[in-house]
Amino acid sequence: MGGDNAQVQSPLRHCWDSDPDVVIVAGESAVKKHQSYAAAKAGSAMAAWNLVVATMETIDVLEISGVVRDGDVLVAVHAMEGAGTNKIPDAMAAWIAQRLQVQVDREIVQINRAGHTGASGWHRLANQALFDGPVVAGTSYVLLDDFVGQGGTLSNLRGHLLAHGAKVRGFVAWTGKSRSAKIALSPATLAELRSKHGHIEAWWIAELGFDFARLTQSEAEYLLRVDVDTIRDRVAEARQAAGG
Amino acid sequence: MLTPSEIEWLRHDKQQAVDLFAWMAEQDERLTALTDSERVSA
Repeated sequence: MGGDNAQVQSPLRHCWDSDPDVVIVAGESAVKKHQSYAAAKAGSAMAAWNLVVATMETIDVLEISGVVRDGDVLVAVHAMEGAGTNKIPDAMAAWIAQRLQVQVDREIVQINRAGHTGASGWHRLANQALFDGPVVAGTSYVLLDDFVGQGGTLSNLRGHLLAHGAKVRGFVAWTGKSRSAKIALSPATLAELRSKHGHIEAWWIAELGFDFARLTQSEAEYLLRVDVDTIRDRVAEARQAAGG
Repeated sequence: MLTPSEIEWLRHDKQQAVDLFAWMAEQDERLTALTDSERVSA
């Protein structure tokens, strides 16, 4: 079982293996227009349930059952956002658990306010979500969140589970851009990143607490778009804006 | 970073959400399983 490690400031990232892509349930434009979306994000349980039922039933549950197997445990990102807690991931977990007869984690939570909703890519990179809560070693978990952008939050939850002896079967996001589905960093992208920005990797490790091999595919692609001065400036600005 | 009491509150909030949504999912499945006439009387 993992203990309380609330003093840890850096996420527990792990190198990528043969991790599958994120299953994205619905397109962003459709779900954000739903009448229950704002209330669900603000913490209304009924709105979250209505939203999840309306969208989850449009997909083939077999797509999710290809990720979730007997004995797996679903773990939903549960975090403080603004004045409340976003309950969409918890509603997704219940919907899937009822259909596939699997268990849902009750105790793993995000232990900081990352402020990711509506934030820039730089803010997301510089202010990582951190997790804590008991993990059952040897158990396979499927990770759920309402949105996948750069994949950092799912990657950090994965790191918390792997660090405590669990396995990660896969990832399901309620919505996100299709290009975000590929979460595991490819060897080719890592090589390109190190070729272009390798001379600041030691600085990156000192700032973020993990090396380039532990970035997600989308995070690495984000860094490849700019030069090293921009990376250093934007990370510092994002940390400062967040009060860090 | 959240305080220990905020983390404890968040865990409790997650447990409540898990229980509530499990109940909602069960009720939805029971309603779906009913025939139309049973649904009217329910």
